Amino acid sequence: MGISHCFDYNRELVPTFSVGITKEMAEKRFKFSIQFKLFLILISIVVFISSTIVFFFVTWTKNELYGEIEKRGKIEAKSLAFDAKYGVITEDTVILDHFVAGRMVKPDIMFIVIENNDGAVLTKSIKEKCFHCDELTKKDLLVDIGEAILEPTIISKEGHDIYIFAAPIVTERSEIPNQEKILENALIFTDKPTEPLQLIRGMVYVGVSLVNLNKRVQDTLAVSVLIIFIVVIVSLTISSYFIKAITVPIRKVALAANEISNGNLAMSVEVFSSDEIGEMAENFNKMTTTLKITIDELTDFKNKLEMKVKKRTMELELALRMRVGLLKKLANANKELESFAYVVSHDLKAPLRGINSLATWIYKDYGDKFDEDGKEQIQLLIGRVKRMYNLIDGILQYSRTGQAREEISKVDTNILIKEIIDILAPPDHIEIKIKDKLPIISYGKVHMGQIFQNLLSNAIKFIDKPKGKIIIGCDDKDDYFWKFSVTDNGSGIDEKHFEKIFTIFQTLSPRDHFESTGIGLTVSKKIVEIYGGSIEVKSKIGEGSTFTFSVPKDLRIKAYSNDPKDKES
Amino acid sequence: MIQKIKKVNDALYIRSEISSEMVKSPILIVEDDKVDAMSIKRAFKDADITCRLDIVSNGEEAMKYIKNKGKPNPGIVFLDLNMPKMNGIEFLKVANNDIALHKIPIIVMSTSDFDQEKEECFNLNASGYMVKSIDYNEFVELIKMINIFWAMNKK
Repeated sequence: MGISHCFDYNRELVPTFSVGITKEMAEKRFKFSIQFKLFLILISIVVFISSTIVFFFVTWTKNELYGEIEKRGKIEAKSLAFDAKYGVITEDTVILDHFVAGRMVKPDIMFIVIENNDGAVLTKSIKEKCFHCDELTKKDLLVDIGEAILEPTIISKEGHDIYIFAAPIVTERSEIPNQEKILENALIFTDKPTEPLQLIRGMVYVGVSLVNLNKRVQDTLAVSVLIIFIVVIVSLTISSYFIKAITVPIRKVALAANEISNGNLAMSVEVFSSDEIGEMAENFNKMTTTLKITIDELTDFKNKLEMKVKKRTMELELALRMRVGLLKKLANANKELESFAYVVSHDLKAPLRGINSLATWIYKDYGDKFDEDGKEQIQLLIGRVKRMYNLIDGILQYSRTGQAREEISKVDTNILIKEIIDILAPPDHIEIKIKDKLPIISYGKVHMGQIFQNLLSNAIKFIDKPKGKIIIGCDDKDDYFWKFSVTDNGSGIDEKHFEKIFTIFQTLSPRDHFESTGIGLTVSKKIVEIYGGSIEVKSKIGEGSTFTFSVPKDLRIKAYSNDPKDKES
Repeated sequence: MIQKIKKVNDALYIRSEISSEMVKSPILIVEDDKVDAMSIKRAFKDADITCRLDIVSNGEEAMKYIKNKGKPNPGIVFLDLNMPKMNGIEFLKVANNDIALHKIPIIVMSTSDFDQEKEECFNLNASGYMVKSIDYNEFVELIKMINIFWAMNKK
């Protein structure tokens, strides 16, 4: 007993769950569970957030850079246009070249073209590494713009790494040394006539390379990706630690639960975290302890119960043996009673019969030699012998009631009573009526017949009126009992005798009036009681009596307890 | 109860397959009670049965009587059950095992009207069962009835 027994007990409790799950299987199972899922979720979140940040950052950087380039290009073009003003007017290419050369030093300026108002190129400088510049500086490209450019503007073509900024070279009227020339060549425009006239003298085109910018954007992107990568790795490392901090205790608890399900109740989970998981583990341990205590208690209880059952079984066995012994005794008693009945019927009746025969013969053969007294005495002798004989018969009949084996069968009481009336053959002045429709009952036919025969013959016997009336009825209003009744208009019985009449050999009339043994009602009562019923009488002297007996409708309700078959088994 | 048994009245039961036939004398009465034996004799006389009656007082004597080659076999046997030495049931058992005795009808006379007793006797191939009445006159009536059935008095 003790712990090992307790485990067995537990196994019995959860056999389907514990069988088939080994520790390895349990571990395998856990690999793809919470840890994996948490990992996946965390990575997704980190990657998504950092990608979004990088995307916006790169876009923003790109926009900033482009804005910067635009600004610079415009400034570059404008300042050159300002510087080149006099050179253009004077068409002094040396000065122009000087200015251009100064600008071309800047690494991202790829080419500069200055042309006069007629479109003639005054100076042109292209860096060697600029592959598209020839194409870009072609005049037709610039003409394509189509509009007069008054402010520095980006004119670029898609697919090229170069932004082209254009700025007009503008002079005011006062600056014009030669008025005629202005009127011939310049495009004159003015918003207000009072304003000094502004003249466009030519155009400056500056090509700024985007290679640097693109490179910077790419670098930013690369750095960002690197940062993402680092962030992911760092976050993975950190999260894996946190995930472990969550999943490991859970796993411990799960493994412990598995162990417990396998019956190892000594298992406890060691989790030191103070969060919900720690609490869970603590509760789990508490639960395990409680479970262990409960199972121990159960085991204890079971043992006690087993002891009790054993004790009870022994007691029962003893009782059973005693019962068997009693039954044997009872069976023996029954046998003795039977043999007693046999002895009575043979050994007591035989001499009586002899006395009777002899008395009869004496009366027959020598009757004429007797005087009247002698004749009366011999008649009385014969009468008393017959009564003795009947009493013996009564004892026999009574002792055999309930001993005789009676098969239960369907008995139609209507037919049964008609048969009994035929046997009894009541005298003509007595009318027997059946009041109700009598039921068909499942009973011993002979027993039922005995009851009715005794009650009816009793009724017939005590009719003292010139017109006798006997009524047989059956009240089936009760759910469980048939209530049969036999009513006569005979002499009736005093209430103080109601109990007496059911006692053996009690007859209320002087025996010399009625040669009755008084056994009929006793036997009827015994039979009714065998079936778990009852019999009673109601009567008024001079008016008649009603005998009522109730017997169960269903014999299974009250077992046929006095059945000799029961006694023997 | 065996079905082939015919109840003539309350006190007389006869195996129904036995056909009525002339019974040759003598009639053997196996009865130990002197008064009962007298009753039977008297009843036969009162019933006008004139054939010879031989009376023995127990089963053993009855066996001796039947086995005696010098005497003719009895035409019918009236057998009391309650007797010393070999009682009626024992006699029936012996007779049942002896094929030679099968053709002799045996009528059991008993004080008891237990069904059990009747059953036992008919199981042992008794031909009839008669309940001994206390009333001598009733007894005479029974004998008369048996006579009608087996036609005993036609000598």
